[in-house]
Amino acid sequence: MSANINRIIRAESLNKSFGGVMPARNVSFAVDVGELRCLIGPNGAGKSTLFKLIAGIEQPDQGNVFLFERDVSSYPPFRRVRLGVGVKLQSNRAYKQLDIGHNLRVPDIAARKRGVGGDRGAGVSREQAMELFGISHVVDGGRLVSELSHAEQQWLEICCAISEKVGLLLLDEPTAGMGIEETKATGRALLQLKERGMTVVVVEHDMAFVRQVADRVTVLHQGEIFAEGRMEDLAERQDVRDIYLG
Amino acid sequence: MDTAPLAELAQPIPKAQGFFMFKRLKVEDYLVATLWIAVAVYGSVISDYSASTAAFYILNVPMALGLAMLWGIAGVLSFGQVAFFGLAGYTYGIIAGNIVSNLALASVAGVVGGLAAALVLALVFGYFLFYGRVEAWIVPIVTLVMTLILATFMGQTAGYEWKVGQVLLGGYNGMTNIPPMHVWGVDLFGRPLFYYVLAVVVVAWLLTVVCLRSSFGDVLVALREDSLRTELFGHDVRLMQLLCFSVAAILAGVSGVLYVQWGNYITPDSMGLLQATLPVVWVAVGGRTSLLGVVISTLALNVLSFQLSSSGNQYAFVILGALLVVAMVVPTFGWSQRVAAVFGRRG
Repeated sequence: MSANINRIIRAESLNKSFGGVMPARNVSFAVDVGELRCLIGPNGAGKSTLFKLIAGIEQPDQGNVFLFERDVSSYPPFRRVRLGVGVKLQSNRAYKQLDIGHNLRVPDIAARKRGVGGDRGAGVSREQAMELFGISHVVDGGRLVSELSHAEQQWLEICCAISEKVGLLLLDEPTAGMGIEETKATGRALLQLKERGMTVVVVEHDMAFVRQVADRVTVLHQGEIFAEGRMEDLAERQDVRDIYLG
Repeated sequence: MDTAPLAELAQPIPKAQGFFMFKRLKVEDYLVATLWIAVAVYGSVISDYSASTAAFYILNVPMALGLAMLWGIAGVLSFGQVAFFGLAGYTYGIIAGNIVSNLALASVAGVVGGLAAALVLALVFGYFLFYGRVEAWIVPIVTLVMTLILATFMGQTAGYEWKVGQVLLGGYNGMTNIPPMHVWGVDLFGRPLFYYVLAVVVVAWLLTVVCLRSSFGDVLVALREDSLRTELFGHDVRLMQLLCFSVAAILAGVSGVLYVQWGNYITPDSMGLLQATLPVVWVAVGGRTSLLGVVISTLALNVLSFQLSSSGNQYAFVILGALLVVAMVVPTFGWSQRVAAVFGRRG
């Protein structure tokens, strides 16, 4: 990781509205190199919108996004990704009708094209990531992805987003639909990725998972950043409990 | 640390693109190759006149393969194939018809010019389509509109003022007296024309195979499955779609040029509404994703259309329409994949 980059994500006063709904109101958000940040909040709080604004899937009505301290506000998603970002979308979106080999080739082709010279990556290869998630064994054989278990499909999707040149991993609900043990295993793998220098931002519902992995937590509520801090501190705040329970 | 670049040099060199082919070829590719050999043998035993008719049966295959790649593999349905077919045909006619001093040069320049015209239209039109991120369901509509505008435009070019050099565009009556393919001092008719068309069709098929069995093809399939996710791996989806659209247009242009070299005329009807649906029918009936299926269905349906229309009735379109409906509503229509599966495990 290049020494001169400290802020890996910086979003400034993002606004986004869909008709009368405003899932992002003046959101300013920053993540430092090496963090494992969780974005939490009740349904409709704007977590996924913020995620999409960072990845470039949605364009903000106002505001700017910086990735690796570069203004990427006008970049389409693929150009942001090429800077060294890995993205896993919400729900299970592996190419289910294609075999596993084909699923792995598609990101590998893009990663090969990215070439040399990027010092933003954490240097974790897709193969190493598959070892961390315990799915190295699925590489062999021409099985369809739909034949894998749900958790294996999710892990495969995360690993597909990782290559040597990826330094920032954006994950939208990576443990959705997983059992307790699988969720824990996901958390352990993400912590190991973090140890190797990967910055990780996770949108998540599962509080046990958030407690397990997060350095810092950002709480969104009605399109605004409601609170930010360490999980232990936030858990004691009555207003944070209120928006979750009340 | 200084040894790092050396270590990089010591890495095994990635296999050159040329070697991937045989490993990545599918059973159906060998079956299509066998089919071409059979067609070549067939061409040698039939009469000279029948060979000329057989040339017509196969000359539409490149256009169908282009649509199979664009629609079946990359998931972009286009009614624009006949626009590129017609544009290439007309351009060939204009260029070849104006170079009277050197017939060989005329046909070569016509071929190059025809294909270039198709490519330029595809690049310009496709740029706005794909770089504008037009939604997938709109593409068939705008490509159909493009086709019909071209047909309408060519339809009103009847007067003597519509003359390019010495060549009349001809309005609804079409452009006539288009020079045939001329090589080694002879115009190609009959059996030589058949073998020339077959050779071009085989080259076009090989181009399609190379595109689809390479990493380009891998990404095209991924685009069809989930284009956003594919983009989020860092693939420039717009560029890939534009490239695919352009290759499909060139393949349609190949068919257009072969068509005018075969029949020596072209009318705006070749870009009309009925014609625009034909490649879609051929590809749908062929099972869309299988080159084997598309080649067989294109051959079979062209034979059928030719026989029915030369016996003087209009049933061809009724039958083709019915086949399209069946192909679209019957989900397990992958007959060609099953045929290939009989010959090998991974058809």
